[in-house]
Amino acid sequence: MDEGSHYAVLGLAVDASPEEVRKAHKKLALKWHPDKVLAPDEIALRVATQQFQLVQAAYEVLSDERQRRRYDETLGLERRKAAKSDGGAAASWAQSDAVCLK
Amino acid sequence: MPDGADDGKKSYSMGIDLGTTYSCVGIFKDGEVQIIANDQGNRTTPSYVAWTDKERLLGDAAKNQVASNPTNTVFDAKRLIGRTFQDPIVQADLKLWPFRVVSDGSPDDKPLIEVMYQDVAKKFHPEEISSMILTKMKLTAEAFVGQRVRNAVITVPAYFNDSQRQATKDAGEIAGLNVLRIVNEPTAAAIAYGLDTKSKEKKTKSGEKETNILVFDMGGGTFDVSILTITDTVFEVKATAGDPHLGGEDFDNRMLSYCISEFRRKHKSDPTRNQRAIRRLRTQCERAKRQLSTQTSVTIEVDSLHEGQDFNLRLSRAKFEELCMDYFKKAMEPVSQCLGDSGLPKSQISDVVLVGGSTRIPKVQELISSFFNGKQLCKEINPDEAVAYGAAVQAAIVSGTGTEEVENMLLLDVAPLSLGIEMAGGMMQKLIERNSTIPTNKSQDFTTAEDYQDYVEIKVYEGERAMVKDNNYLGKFVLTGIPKTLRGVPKIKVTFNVDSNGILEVTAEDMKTHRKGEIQITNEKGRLSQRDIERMLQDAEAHKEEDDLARGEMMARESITVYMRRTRKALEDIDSEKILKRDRERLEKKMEEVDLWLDEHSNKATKEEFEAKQRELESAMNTIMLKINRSESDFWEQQAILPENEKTIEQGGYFLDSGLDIRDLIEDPD
Repeated sequence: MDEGSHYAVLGLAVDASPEEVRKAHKKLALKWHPDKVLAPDEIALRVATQQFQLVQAAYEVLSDERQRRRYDETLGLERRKAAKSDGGAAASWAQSDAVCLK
Repeated sequence: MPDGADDGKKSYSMGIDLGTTYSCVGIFKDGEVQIIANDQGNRTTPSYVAWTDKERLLGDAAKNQVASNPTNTVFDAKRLIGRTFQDPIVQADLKLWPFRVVSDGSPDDKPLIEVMYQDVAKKFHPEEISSMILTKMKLTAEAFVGQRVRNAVITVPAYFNDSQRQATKDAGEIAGLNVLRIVNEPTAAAIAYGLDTKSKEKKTKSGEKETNILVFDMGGGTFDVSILTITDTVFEVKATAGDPHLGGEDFDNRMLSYCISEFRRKHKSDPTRNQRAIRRLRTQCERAKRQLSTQTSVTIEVDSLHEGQDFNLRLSRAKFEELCMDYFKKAMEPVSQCLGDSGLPKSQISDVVLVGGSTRIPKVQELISSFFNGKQLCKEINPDEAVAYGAAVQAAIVSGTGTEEVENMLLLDVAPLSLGIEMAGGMMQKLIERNSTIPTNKSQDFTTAEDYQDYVEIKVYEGERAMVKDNNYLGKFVLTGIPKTLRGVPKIKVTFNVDSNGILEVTAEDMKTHRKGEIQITNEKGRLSQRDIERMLQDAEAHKEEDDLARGEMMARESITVYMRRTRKALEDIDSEKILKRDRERLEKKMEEVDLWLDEHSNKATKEEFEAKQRELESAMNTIMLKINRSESDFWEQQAILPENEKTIEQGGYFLDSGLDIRDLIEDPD
């Protein structure tokens, strides 16, 4: 998993459940939304905005099942996911993918 | 907003709902939101500005004199703001406005409102009119907290486009406000709903719960639908849709047209060109419309409407609904669109929240309810105040002046329209999709279409259509100095940045030279230049002095008028035996004299002159009163419980012409 990946941005494992994605997003959005910058000097605002946008981009992809699947493909995650037997909704397709690969 | 942080710390921040027909202001104070009543005691203020021979009037004062001064009474600035003169919506509205709107004649084609003030034609941008209303709301807030208030959150319809948002922000600057944020109206209303529900559920439920709500916001001039997901303290807008030109005024206009045709049919004369008649009739239509929300039929009556003919019409609720049905049905389209965009099925919407005065119309409620298969609608929050309430909360969030509960709240709003640039062939290349959470930022690389092309023109549009010609043009800029080479080789990175206000900034960079050049977007449509804004700000400040003077005079005139009325009443009430004939005659003579003086001078007297006249009256009255009130009784007690502006004798008004203190006389009468 790449340091800059959507999972890393949200501080999540690749098999995070939709509920975990939602919670992580909420926590980080509250932290980085520019509204939450109390001493709004330009730099603090810019940093917060950039962080927020990263969090938001990650959330948009990972909270949508189809987008998340496509994203995982680009990361080459199917195999690793398939190796795990627990994994909830996201893992079911990964397993079927894995079947094809075998 | 560089200075916002310094004086924002201890000062208050207000939320202003700048409406098409009415505006409302709220402030977060002592842990809760206060919706503030204006000087007339009203919690909403008409978005009206008027010029009389003598002064500028704002709010209620302006609306109250509209029938006698139709051409110099301006309203509906929100329907003009951020639009061009040639905009078909402006052209259609023009026919219904009694005031004059002209083009500024520049290539920008900005609309200007023309009024006569002291025999000189004056022209104002819609931003200036809005700034005057904002100033009025600011004064209302300041009177309430007893100190200056500069920081403000101003709301706009969610479906307002970029130009309209920019222009609203400019209006705030012209009013001397530090605009903390432009917030979408339905989002603000959702906060009011969220806090209301939360306070009720506090005892029963704990933990996080996800609720999806639909806000249906139909006011005087604009219509919005938003779907939000509320999770504890986070309000996330999922989708928004609407019509920036649909609301109560359209219904008034329908009724008006119908009344005019009825009048024509009955009396064979046409009042259309009689501005005063039209205005009087419109006022009655508006009133009838409100009544039809609770009654099933009303009578619209105007005495001597036109050429001496009275107007009289019985109108049923069914007829009203028939007149406006196409509008009501039209309002359901954005509801389906919004639902579709949100990806949520109807069954997942747990509450439909009604906001805006027009949601009181039974037919509107019926249509929404049946759209949601007979769902019960949420009418718990005040439809006139919810937006200002939410704006005040947002102001507290942004300025960090709220309670802990407010500090934990977060609003995630969206951009209502897709944003993109024109590609070769007139196609729209979208960079930001509609309903993207803001602030957002998207980049894309572009290249040249021809060999040796050394500049590119970047034209920015908003809208959903495939061809740019069908979308709304926002502006353009040219990036020059691209090294000449074959087509397709240069790499130009275009970045769209939408800030938390939903306002767009576009930059382009040649990745080889890193040349950014002049890339500030020049909004050719609607937007005022910074120079314009500064000039208007100065104008507004100059006007303020005039206004302060006029306000002083107005209050003094009001004071003496009220005093006269009360004195007359007192004279009738007082047992005549108790008054010496001499005293009564002296007072009556004085009153007659003041009456005459008022007739002649009420338009040109200064504050001091009004006050002097009032003192003369008071002294005549006091002579009588203290003879009646041998003990210091009833009268002063009565005075003490009267509202401030109705007191016949103000505190400190104890001295007679002779310089004697009447309180001494009371203790030792005659």
